[in-house]
Parts: sequence; structure tokens; C-alpha cells
Amino acid sequence: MSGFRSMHPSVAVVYYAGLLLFTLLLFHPVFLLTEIAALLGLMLLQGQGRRIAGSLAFCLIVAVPAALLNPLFSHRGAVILFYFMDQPITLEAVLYGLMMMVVLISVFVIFLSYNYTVTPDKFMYLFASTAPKSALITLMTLRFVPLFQRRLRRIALIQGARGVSVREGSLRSRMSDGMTLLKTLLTWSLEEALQTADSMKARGYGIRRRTSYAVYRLDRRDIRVLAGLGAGALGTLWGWFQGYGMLMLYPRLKPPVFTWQEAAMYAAFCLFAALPLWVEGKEKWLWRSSARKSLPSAIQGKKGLHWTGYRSQ
Amino acid sequence: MGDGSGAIYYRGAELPLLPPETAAGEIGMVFQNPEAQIVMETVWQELAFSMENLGLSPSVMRGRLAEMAGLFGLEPLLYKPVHELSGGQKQLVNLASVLLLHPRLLLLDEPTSQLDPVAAREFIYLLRRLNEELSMTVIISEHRLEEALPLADRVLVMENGRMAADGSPREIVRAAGSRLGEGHYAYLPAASRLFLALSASPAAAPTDTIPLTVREGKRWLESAVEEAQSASPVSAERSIPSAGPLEKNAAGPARIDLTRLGGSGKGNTLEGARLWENGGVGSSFSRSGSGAFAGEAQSSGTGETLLECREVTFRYEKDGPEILKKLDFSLYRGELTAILGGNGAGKSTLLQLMAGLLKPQRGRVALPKGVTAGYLAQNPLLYFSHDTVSEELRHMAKYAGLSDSEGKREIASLADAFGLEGVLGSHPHDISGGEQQKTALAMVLLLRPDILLLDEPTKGLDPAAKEHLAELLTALAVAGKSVTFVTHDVEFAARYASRCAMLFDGSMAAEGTPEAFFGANYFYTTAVNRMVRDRLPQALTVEDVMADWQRFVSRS
Amino acid sequence: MAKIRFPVLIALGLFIGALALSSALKDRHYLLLSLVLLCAALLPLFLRLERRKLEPRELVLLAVLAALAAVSRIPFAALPSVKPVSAIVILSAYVFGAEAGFLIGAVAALVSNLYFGQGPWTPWQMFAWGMVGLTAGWLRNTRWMRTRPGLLLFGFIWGFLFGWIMNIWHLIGLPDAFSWGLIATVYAASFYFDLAHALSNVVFLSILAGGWIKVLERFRKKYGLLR
Repeated sequence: MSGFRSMHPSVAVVYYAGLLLFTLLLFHPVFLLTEIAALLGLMLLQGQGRRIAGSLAFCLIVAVPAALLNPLFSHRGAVILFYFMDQPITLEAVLYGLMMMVVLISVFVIFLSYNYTVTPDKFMYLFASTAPKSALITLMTLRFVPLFQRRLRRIALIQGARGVSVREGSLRSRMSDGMTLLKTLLTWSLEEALQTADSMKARGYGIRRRTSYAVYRLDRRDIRVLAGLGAGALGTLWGWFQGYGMLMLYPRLKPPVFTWQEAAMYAAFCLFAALPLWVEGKEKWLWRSSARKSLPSAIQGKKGLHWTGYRSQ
Repeated sequence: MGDGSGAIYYRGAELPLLPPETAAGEIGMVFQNPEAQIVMETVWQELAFSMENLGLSPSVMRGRLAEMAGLFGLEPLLYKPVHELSGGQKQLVNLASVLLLHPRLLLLDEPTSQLDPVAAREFIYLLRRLNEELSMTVIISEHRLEEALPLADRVLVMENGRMAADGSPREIVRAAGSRLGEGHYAYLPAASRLFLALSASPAAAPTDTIPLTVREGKRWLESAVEEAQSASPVSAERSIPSAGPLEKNAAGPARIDLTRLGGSGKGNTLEGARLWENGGVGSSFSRSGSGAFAGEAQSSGTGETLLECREVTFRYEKDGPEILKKLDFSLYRGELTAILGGNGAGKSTLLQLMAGLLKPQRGRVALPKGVTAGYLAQNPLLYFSHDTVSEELRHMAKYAGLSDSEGKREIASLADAFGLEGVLGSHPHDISGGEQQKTALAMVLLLRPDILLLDEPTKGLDPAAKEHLAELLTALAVAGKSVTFVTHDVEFAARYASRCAMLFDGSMAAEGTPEAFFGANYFYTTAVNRMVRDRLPQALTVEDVMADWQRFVSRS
Repeated sequence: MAKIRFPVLIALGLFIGALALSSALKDRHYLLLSLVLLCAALLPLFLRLERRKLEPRELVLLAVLAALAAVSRIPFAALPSVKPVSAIVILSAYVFGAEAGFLIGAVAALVSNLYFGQGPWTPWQMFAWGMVGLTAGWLRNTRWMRTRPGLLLFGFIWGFLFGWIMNIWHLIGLPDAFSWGLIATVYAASFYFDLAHALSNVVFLSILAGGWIKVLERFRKKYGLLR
């Protein structure tokens, strides 16, 4: 783990939560496109190009209908482009639909990057102290999922020998066989779970309020980045309260005018959006230059956290 | 939930009155099943779990974790998800997690029963270190005593809910020779069994000469041989009859059982033998014992081939390693074959391939027309999907194509042979592990396979259950099936198999009768063989040694 | 640290809530508001869980059922709308009650999305499946739910309700075009998916009901859990 991923989970969560908030608050193509560019840049630097390409189709399936549906159902606006089935299609509504599409795409990209950076154990780590029981249930569920998957595979192998199979037979029999396999898994897992519970009890679960073990330490770099993010967020919010960062489409499209206040707000937003990119890029550059200097052979491939390998199975 | 009376005291305080923090913090417990005890998703979370429960501060937790990870060598595993660990590593994590609370008393419930021998030995030696270096009180319940017994200070023998014996390991060994009777004999380490079998008067021997380990056993043997030689030849010969009363014990579980279990045991096995007897091979059951098997193994070379693996190559994933590489192997009618091999050598994979559950990428698993194979997995719970044992069996009989009356008859005779009549109405998850295994075996047998393949059938079984299983398997082999099992249990393979094979690096590295197979091994052989190999390289069991005791003495 | 974390989170929540409200009033931009409201709806039930004393066995039971529901989603990932999750959540709630049903549904959604990828739909799915469990638990003692056809009908209805809840997410993205026409279009577009979900619920429930209820009841009685 290196770069932005190696930072304290709270930094990442502040970053993604802030981006999500601004995506939903700000309504301006320049801001949104900057944000998408920053996130894509971050992911490319992290070597996640294939991940972006892989989820592109799904993203478009969700986002494109918004662009199409809006002008069909909203007829506000002053500039009528043409008539479609006796309905006026206005320029404003088309632009509004496109804007919503960009919003959806940015939300999508935020989560794409989030899924790579904030691994479930980091997410859980943040929640463990505020909501210990919910976090514990989630964590235990998280542990059971791969376990149950492996068990299900073994059960399917064995039960295949007694004619219970999801591969052959009519749809009805396949479904009912699948459920027989799940039932075997259920009974077995419930019995075993009791031993888990006994071991929890023997190790003192429920005696007193739990503390949480800190694998992550908030270091100076984290604090500096947090401060930078905070400054950027405050600047952006200030601008939003002043009414900047909003594209006025209705009642009629106003050509955007960049004032110096708006430019200041944009700078603050850029600081916020691009800070992780800077962290990641700096580290990459340091590695490359030091490798060139001292260890010419040390330019190595990417090495992910266990979690990524395990998810992709 | 049951009820009880009486009280348990911990450091003078009655257990239920103990503050929960003391109880959880000072008394640590490790359970039998390594997988089921783990709560969390990654190793560090699991290790921290117990400390978090007791509300330790982060800095204390960090210090303790660092220390324990160092002691157990867990650093490389710390960020791994638990499902990537082996069984032995999981049990190690469980132990470490408990030890992080700094307990004064450590309770372990058959902690090694699910581990392979190498991992089990490591685990036991770790316990010994804890005991010696921290003087921690360790209480362990076990029925695999080869390694555990020599380390113990005190041994308690439980029988039917009562304390049957209490003393030092050597005292227990001596008691097993006389007072306690043969019921406990099978639990003892090989050296002690050899001692009890050969010693003229085990009850009179000084306690500190009673051997527990291979080293002590060998030393004792040397001294016994010297003694026998220095005495007149006549008395040396007499030393056998003098061991007479013990011969019954020493004759080994297979024979003991027939005499000891009396009516019911004998009846079962005979019934079993009759059930599967389908022709000429049916030799009488009393021939069981390694000598008889050796004879049969020679004849089986000419026996009918039931299954042939021809250059079988297999891998699980396209880019994965080859688990099996051009493996050649055959199974013959009437044989009891043991496949041995290290962890991850591909033993289970081979069985599943032979059972037809997996298909080789290259090569062929060839069966003559009409020959079928049945597979019994390590975990019988995989087989159960109905609410009672009899329902499981009925469904299986139906799938096997038996008519109602036929199925009933078959189920009744199997239940009788396996001693399952009492549990037919129970839920398969409510019966004991041994009964679950027998139920699953009965289910497989309802398909009337000619070849029976078993994955680690002795795992977690106590000696009595192992004997019973051996009887069943022998009866099946005698009845003309080919029985093959994969095992880590060297003693079991040596005693009951007619042929042993070693799987290494994807193919069969060695193959032969137990005598030839283990006699050629240096380390991977029975404890008895390691004690006597200088004089009797072919002797694998206590009975073998007894039979050759004469030669043993005279040769030196 | 842990002590101040809670008030800080509450303050943050209130702040974002206020932002959402003003953005909705000012710009008719409802995406943020809907997210905040959704979290507010999920919060009380999770808070109740935090306050409650739960035996380890009950905790593990909930986790096992949630994990089973999550795992059952995986083999059917290729078929849209066909997920046994709803059926499993309904049956768990049927035996163990509304609160357990809610938790199993919500946690199953959260965890399965850790495998399929989190997205803005995660809280919606948590909400929808949580509600499936909650309502099944509430209605479990009515005469209607005690009959097999009643149970199947319940599953059928929830197949549609689930889709309708998820549709809201699409509608909110287009506040400007909000009209009956749009609603009709969106719901018509999702009709076949919802129907598939409803029918698969009926099939899964009819296959699972007898066996699973027996297994779960046996387990509940044997260990006296979640009374």
C-alpha cells in the first residue's frame, strides 16, 4: 500500500464524503468535470485503468437515460429546439439532462475510486468505535461470506454424487436443488456458529464496553492533508453560500461569467479535489527518481493489498 | 441445557461467583475446531478481539500484540484474511488470541484433533514452551497422546463421567497394564505399549524406567535385550510365556476388539461381513491383523483391476500449479489401500478425481464397465440435508434406485452393521461425530459402489472408534470391494492397510506393502518401527515385534 | 478520541442535513436530501441495536443469516432481479422477528455490495431489504402470513415494492422533469424486472419455506435465541 491508500482512513473518508457532498450541492459543469478528471487521474496513477474501463458500460447505462428522459418530460426553458411528438424540446432541458448525467457519472466515479481506496477493513475501523455492535455484525458477516462460498462449493461437489445438482435437470428441479444446497449450508453453519459464539464468550465479549485496536495512526502527513482538505472545503462552501458554482439554466440559460470570487472558489475546490492526486503523484515521482538513481532494477510492478486480490476472485 | 450439582473453585472462589472479567481474563480456552472459533476477518482483528473485549487501552494492546506476534512468528500473517491460513495456523491464532489476555490457566479441548500430525506436534511443543517458560497451568483434553503424554506432569483418566485414574504419566502407563485394564491401553504412546507388551512384569518395574517416548523406548528395549541375553537361554525363552497374561492386550486393537467387545461388537462385524460378502473373496474375519493383510496384499497383485489412473494431470485453475503430474495408479479388488503424503500434496484431489467428482485435464481415470466409485468426504456434515438420519438414508436409497422394500431392508441391515439403530430418528446434527461419519458412510454404501474412497476417515476419532472403522473397512475389502483411504495417520495405515502409497510432488513416489513401504522410510514410519528398526526393520506394530521377539533377542 | 467522535458525527450529520434541506429548497436538488433522509430512516434501528444487550449467540446468528443472504446473491449475479436475498430475509424475520429481519436485510445489502461494489444505491438497498425484513417480522403473527399463500403473496408484493423503492432513486435525479408521465415511464420500464423479482420471490419462498422455517425454529428452540 502506498500513496493515498496508505493514509489514515479518515482522510480518505473525508475526501470522498466531501466530494460526494459537493457533487450533490454544486451544479456547474466546470466543477464536476474537474472532479471527474481529478478522480480518474488518481485512479490512473494508482494503476487502476482497467477497473475504469471495466465499469464504464454500467456507468453509462445508469447515466445516459437521465440525459434522454429530462428533455422528454420537462418543457421549461425559453429556447425551443424542435418538436418531438408534439412536445417542445428546449435547450435548457437538454442541458439540464446532460448536467444530471454528469452528476451521476461523478457520483459513480467517486464510488469507483472509493471502493479501491477505502477497503472494508478501513471502513469498519472507522465505525468500530462509534457503532461497535453494528460494526461487529458487519465484520462477522464479512468473514462468513468467503467461508460460506467455499463451503457451498464443497457441498455442491459432494451432493452432486447424490443427484443434487444445479447444473442439470429442469429449471424447477435446479432451483429446488440449489435451495437444498443452501439448506445444508444453513444447518451446518448455524451449528458451527454456536462454537464461534462460545469462543467469543470465553474471550470476554460483552463484559464491558469494547475499546478498539488502532492499526492506523494519524501522522503528520495525514494532518497536513486533512488541513488542506478542510481549507479547500471551507472555501468551496463559502462560495456555495454566496451562490457561486451554480449554473443558471432556468428560467433561461445565462452565459457563465467568471468573477474573481468564483475563480477563488474554483481554486479552493481544485485544492480539495486534487490533493490526493498530488500525494499519489509525489510518491510515484520520488520512487521513480530514487530508483533511477540508486537501484536501476528496482522499478517493479504494482503490488496490491490482499483485499483486492481476494475480491477479484 | 442440562443441569448439574457441585461446585468448581478457581483460586478459592466458586466459579459462577467469579467476576466475569477475571473469568475471561485469567482462564483462557481453546476449542477443538480451528475454523469455528474465529470471529473476525483478518488476523490482526482476530488477535485484537479479545483485548478489545476487556477494554484494554490501545497502547497496551499494541505492546502485547507485538510481543505475541513475535513469539508465535505471526508477523507475516498479520494482515492476511483468516481464510487464507492453514488449519494449524488458525489454531495458532486462536491460541495467541487467548494468550494476549495473559491467562493463568489455559484450557484446551482436543486442540490438535483437526490438525495434521506436523502441525499438531508444533502446537503441542508450543504448549510445552508456555508451560516451561511461563509456568502457566495448562489443562488439555486429548486422545492422541503420542506427543502429549510425555509432556504432562499429571494425567487424569475419565471414564463414563468418573475419574478412573489420576497420576503421573508413568504411573498411568503402569496402571493401564494391570488395574485399569485394556480399555486405556490403546491410548498410550507406542513406547509404553511396547513396554507393557514385552516386559515380564510391568507392574513391578520401577516407575522411572517406564518409557514414554521413542528415545526412552529404544533405551528400554536395549536394556531388556541385554537382560534377556545375560540370563540363561532357557529363561530368555520363558520371557514370552511370562508375558502371557498381557498378550491379550498386546495383540492390538483389531484382535482385542473381537474378544473384548464381546457379544455386540462381534455380532456387528460378522453381520457386516455377511452383508457385503458376494463371493469367493470372503475370507474369515478373524484373519484381520497385519499378518493376514500382508498375505492378502501379495495375492491382490494378481487381483482384478477396478480402477486405473493413466498419466493423470490436474490443476484447479488455468494458471494455477499442477496438483497432479502424470500420475499412474491402480486399485484392485479386495484391497485396503492407504494413500499418504504431506499437506497439500493433492491427496484429496486425487480421491475426488478417482471418484469422478473432478475431471483430469490430461490423462484418464479408467473404470471397467459397471464399476462405480463412492466417495466419503472428510466432513460428514456435507452430506446432510434432511431432518432425520433415516430420512437421509431413505432419500439416498431412492436415488440409488432401490425399491421401497429393498431400500428398507438395505437400510435396516446397514443401520444394524453400523450400530445406528438408536439414532435413526435423530437430527443428523444432534448425533456424535463418529455416528455422523457412519451415517455418511452408510449413505455412500447405499449406492453400492465397488470402489470406496475415504478422505481422512480417522481424523478426530478416538482409538475405539478407529478400531470399529477398521473393522468396517476390512469387512468391505474382504467382501470384494476396493477400499482406499487418504490419511496422515501412519499407525492406522501400517496396521490395517494392505498396500500403502506415498503421494509426493503430484505423483506416486513409493508404493508397497506396509512392511516394505514403512521399512524403507527413515522418519515417516510408525513409532514402534523407529524403536526397533535396527533389529527388526520390517516390524511396524507391537504385535509384529511380539511375534519376532525371539529373533530380536537372539540376533543381538 | 472515541468520546468526542460521537458528538462530532452528530454535528456533522446535522450540518449536512441543513445543507441538503437548503439545497433542496433553493435549487430543487433532491439527491442529497434523499440520502440524508435515508440515513435518518436507517439510524434509529441501528441505534436500537447498539443499545440492546445481545448475547454472542444472537449476534452470531444474525451474522450467519446475513452472510447466507449475501452469499445467495452471488450465484445469481448474472440474472438481473433474481435474488434469493428477499426470500431469505423474509423467512429469517418470520422466525426471529422484525428487528432481526431488518438487520439481516440491511447488513446483507451492505456486505454483498462490498463484493459487488458500493455505490449510491447501497443505502437504498439497505433500506429496501431492511424494510422487507421489518414488515415480514411485524406481520408474522397475522393469520394471513401464517398461511402459505399469504406468505407467497407477501413475497410477491415485496418484489414490486422493492423495485419501486429503487426507482425513487432514478426519479430524484430528475426533479425538473418530475411529472406523472415520467413516473409512469420509469415504473413501466422497470415492470418486467420487478415482475421477475416478484416471481422469483414466490418460487424461492415456496421452495424454501417449509424446510428453512423448520431448521430455524429447531435452532431457536434448541438454544433459546432471540425471544
